[in-house]
Amino acid sequence: MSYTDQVITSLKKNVASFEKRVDVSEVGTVIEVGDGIARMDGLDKCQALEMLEFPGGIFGIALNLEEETVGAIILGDFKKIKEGDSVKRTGRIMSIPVGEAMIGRVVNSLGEAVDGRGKIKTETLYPLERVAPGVITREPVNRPLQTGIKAIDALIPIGRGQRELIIGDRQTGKTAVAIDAIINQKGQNVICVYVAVGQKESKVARVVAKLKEAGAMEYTTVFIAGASEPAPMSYLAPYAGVSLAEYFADKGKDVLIIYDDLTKQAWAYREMSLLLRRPPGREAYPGDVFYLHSRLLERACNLNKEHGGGSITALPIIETQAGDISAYIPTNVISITDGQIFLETELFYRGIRPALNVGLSVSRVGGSAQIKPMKKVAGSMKLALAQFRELEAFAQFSSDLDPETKKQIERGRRITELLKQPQYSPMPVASQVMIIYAVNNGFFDSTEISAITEKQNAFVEFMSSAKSALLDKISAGEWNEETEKTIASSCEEFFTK
Amino acid sequence: MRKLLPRHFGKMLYQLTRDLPEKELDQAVAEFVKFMARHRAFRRLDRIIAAYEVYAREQDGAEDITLVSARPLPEALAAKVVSHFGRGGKIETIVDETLIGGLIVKTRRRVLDASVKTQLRGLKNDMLAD
Repeated sequence: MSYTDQVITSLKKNVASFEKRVDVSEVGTVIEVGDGIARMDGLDKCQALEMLEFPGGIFGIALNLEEETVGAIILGDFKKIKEGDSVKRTGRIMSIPVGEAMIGRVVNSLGEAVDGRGKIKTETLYPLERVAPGVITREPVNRPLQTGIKAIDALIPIGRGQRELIIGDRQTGKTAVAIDAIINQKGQNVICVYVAVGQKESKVARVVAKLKEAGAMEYTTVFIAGASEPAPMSYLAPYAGVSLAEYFADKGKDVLIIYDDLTKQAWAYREMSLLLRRPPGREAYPGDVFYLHSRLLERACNLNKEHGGGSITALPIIETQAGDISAYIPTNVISITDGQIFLETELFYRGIRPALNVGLSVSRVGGSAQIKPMKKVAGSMKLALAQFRELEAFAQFSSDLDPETKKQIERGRRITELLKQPQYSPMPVASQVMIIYAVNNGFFDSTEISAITEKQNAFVEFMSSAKSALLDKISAGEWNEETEKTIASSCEEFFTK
Repeated sequence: MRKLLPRHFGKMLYQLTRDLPEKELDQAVAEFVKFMARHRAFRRLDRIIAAYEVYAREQDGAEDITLVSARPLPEALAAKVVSHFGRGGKIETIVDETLIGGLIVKTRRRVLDASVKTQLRGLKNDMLAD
């Protein structure tokens, strides 16, 4: 049958089966509108989070169901709405389109494309608000999610299904850590979602350009609620991102989602709540600001085999002011997540980048999220670093110290230098294991601090070219006496030539 | 304090004056005017009176109705439609040729859309869904 005939057949079928229907909709009247919020009279049977249709095709979400009025946030230009306008119930709870077609695209909080590449065709809708998977559907986190950053993969390992907070002052490299984690997922069968909340659009454009350059947009979706958009879009963006992540996790895929950042989502929610006249609490945040983040982050999970075996790993970002991690929102999110990566301004300006404060950072999943070789070597390095931190204050008196203490200080300095890593240069886990093994066993002790980076790069190149089979074994998680002997001999071969 | 809308004032006035003997009416209205003064509601007087009338009609089982049609509706047909929504309410008829045919009935709380324009949009959506 030709295409024309197919179209004609379809038309005839639709016209023949068409049934007249009367569209019955419940309506209300706008009695107050402004600052992205509208208050309506009527809408007696309106549900919480139901989508409402304003004139001009603008949508809103009902948030406040009061005795005689409904308060709603407007997802669009509120200046086009006036008092007396008619508002219609749609009967749909807020949901976004999800599907494979979203991968590689930049979208807003409603799932609409904003990258100029045309409309996204999807067939499925997922609700923005969804109850998190229960205890029975989950299994413990036991598979690593490699970020490619040595300091994190060795000392603060992240597993698939974990929530690990990235927290620090402005300009400490929080987004850089997140982007490196996304770039390192290339070839790892992990889908990535980056949610930009209240960010400068120029910054997001740079991030997208970098992801494209690294080939990461092939498996990444970017949600953007820019700084110029109304507060409700910033409030919804993280939920939209996790809804897409759940779509893939339900199909058994592993997903990495980054919320950059939740501080701005909390600000947007505070703004909305104050305009909706909800009672302000501490720091003028509404009373349910904890629930705002807890219900979002609880949706990250590691599903068991019976439920598809997929996972959602969440890396929320929180910006602190003057390093105060005991403030309201930071403490809330720290108590929700399974660990935090604390980035310090002082370390950043001392040239230690990523500026990780290893003492304050933790991963509550720990070794369960590491492959066996990494678990074997990382412990010694962590101990050496901890000892170095204790002795660091004495470093300025190095000429007066005993040889053992001097050795610990020198070892600590070398480890600190080795843990530095340039941006956009994630390192495979096997190379990381080799470097850590080498430093633990003193192979770098004779190298000057200033030459450490060069030596490390040369060592990695040597291993990649001459010992690729060994690297493959390490990547596969193999660790036994024979592997250890081979690693040792490889290190001797390189460092003694 | 919650902002009082014209509808609230209208409802108050209705409940204050319902079934009141005529000789007490002046006193009741005077009290109501004082209440309005305390809430600085005089500039909304027109809307309060309109809201009172709407509320009063609703309490009597009548609804204000707007009929939108593609062509002017014969009176008998309009009356037949309105009779399904109670008696005594205000009836407004609007001609909107873009509907092509059929009728839209709007009350305060509902919109019943049986216009040809909406039927065709539904048909279009069904076809696109295929």
